[in-house]
Amino acid sequence: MSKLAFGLLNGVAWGTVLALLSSGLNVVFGLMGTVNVAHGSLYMFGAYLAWICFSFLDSFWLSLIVSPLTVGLVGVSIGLLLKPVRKDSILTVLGTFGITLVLQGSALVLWGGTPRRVPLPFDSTFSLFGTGYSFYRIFVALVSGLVLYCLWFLVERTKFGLRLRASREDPELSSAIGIPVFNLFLLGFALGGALAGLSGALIAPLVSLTPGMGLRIFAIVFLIVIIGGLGKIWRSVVVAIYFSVFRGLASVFLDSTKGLILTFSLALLVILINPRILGRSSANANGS
Amino acid sequence: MKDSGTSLTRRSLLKGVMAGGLSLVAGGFSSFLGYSNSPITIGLQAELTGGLATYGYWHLKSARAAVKRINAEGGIDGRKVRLVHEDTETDPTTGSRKMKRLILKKGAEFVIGSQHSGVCLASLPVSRRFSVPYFPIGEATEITGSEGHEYVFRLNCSVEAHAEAGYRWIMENLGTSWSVVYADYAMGQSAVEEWGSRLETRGGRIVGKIAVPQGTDDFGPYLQKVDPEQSDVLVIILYGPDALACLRRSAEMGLSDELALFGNTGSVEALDINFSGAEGLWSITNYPRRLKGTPDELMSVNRDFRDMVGINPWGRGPKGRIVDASHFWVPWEVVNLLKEAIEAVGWEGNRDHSRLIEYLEGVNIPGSLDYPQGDKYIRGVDHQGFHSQYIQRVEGGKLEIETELPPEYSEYKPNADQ
Repeated sequence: MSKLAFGLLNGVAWGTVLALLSSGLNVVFGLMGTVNVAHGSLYMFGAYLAWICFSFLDSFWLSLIVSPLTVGLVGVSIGLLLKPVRKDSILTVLGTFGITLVLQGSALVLWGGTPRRVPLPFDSTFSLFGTGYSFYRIFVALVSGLVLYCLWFLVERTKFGLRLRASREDPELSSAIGIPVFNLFLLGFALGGALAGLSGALIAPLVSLTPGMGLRIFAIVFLIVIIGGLGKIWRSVVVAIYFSVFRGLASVFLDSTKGLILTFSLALLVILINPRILGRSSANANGS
Repeated sequence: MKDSGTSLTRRSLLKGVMAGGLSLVAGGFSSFLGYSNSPITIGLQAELTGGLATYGYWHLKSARAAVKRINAEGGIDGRKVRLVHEDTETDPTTGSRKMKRLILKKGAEFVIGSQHSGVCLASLPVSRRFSVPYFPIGEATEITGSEGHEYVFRLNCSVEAHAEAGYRWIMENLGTSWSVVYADYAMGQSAVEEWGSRLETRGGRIVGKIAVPQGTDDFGPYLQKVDPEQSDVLVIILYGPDALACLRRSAEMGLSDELALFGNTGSVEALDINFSGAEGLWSITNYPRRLKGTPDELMSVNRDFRDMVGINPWGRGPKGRIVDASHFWVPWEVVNLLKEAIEAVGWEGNRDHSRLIEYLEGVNIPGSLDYPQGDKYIRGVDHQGFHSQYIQRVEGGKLEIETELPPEYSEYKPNADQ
């Protein structure tokens, strides 16, 4: 019983960070219509910035501001680079994949392949069903939840969000009525990048930092966005938490590979049962 | 025709043409036979990108240093040595393709590497197909076991050799009930089988075998399966970022307070272990990270060896990079072993490979600047090398050598006859 409870709570805590990272991709993919394969590498870059802040400026907390700002700017640069091809989905995938390789290679050259670590900002732990659990994990879950709520508010309840969604639905009509579509495209990339940077900084004290960490997580995040539905922030959150909890529990009660197969099979089943998930979501991106 | 300005006559022209023709024929013939005075080409399969990029970085430095030293001293049998390398990207499919490239495009006559067992296993058929001697560094037992062949030699210990040397030490010093967390791929599966079977044969018990996918960030669900009341030791068979993540989570969950922790070679390899979660971790290694841990008789040659590769006495190189101490010496030693073998048998080209192989089978290698890791031998029957291993412990954020396990401790029953 305690294993089940631990798995549930731990899954929710991890799921919220995964949801935060997915939401960044969802903004760019779901709301801007661009598959940013470099999203995982932006997350990696955010995590390394946290390591730099800790190692050279002696302040991990600073990275919670530096990472989203810096990675947000990198996101804008990616948006600018993609300007000539942004209407061609194949070329944007290829372009952002190239950017992934550049970012990953640069990280390897700059910081080497040695896994880096950032110490936990809070050393203290509490007993969760008889197992030690760091307070920092709870902090990460709370911050992620708060940022996700703010993002939902921004996209669903503000004029900015309305314009963002409108420019995705019908760019030409939006442009005709005076919405600056390309500027919104850049802002979308900035927002997506900032969310990736923040996720990376938040997670840095909990994982080992390597240049390949972004590419590894991208497949999961992409799947979460697809199943959750493009442009649907809260549905992505639910899928991310499902994924994290289910995979965690499956790993406790089955062996790791079977757990992973079962988790992905169920996800695949959802897509097979509802194959129109992608099209329907993009057609009705109302954020339900 | 005579010209005061030149000495070109019909006779001299004919002489020149004949001489040129003869040298072309002779050159072509000797090249056909595989003999020439051209440089000897050694290939290196290195993980320069991907999960094992730290290893490849050092392997390349080590091989380059060895080649530089040999060339500065006149080469091998008067022939220069040329090192060519390819990046496997830590991927078996790419690694095998790069092996072909090393042989077919870059003319490698011998190939060293890779560190990744999956890459090595995928490259073994390429080595056999093109009859190119191959010196893999990956540790999976099968490389010199069921999958090995006559062209394959491994100088460093296999997973089975680590298990053979280490299991008794753990049983005698740490405990007989183990929970094992292992990487769910060739190396990890091979290791858990080797360690586990030996423990159980001697009356020990595996409480739990916990497979973890590569690249796991959240170890919580996996470490939950560890039962501290039933186990004495948590054996960690992981490498790089996974090992680091596992150690940190073990500390957070309080497991490191309740159990002794023991890691395979990869668990501390090239990692900064100066953090509370790693404190007290025992592990097995082929070579001490810090010069201080080297046996006295090898101290002087190792100081020189480290200087030539660019590693300080604390095991760090340029920009503070931490060396993969357990394996970085292998390319250096293989290059030197090739020099020794080529000169001993008078190897001139690929046609002489069989004589070179015969020489290597059962060769005894004394510790020296050529072989700074120490005394070792290659078993003739399966081409597996055996050497001293060390038990080390993280104390005060540093790796301290606790004991040396001599080569004979590692020797296990051969699994194949090459």
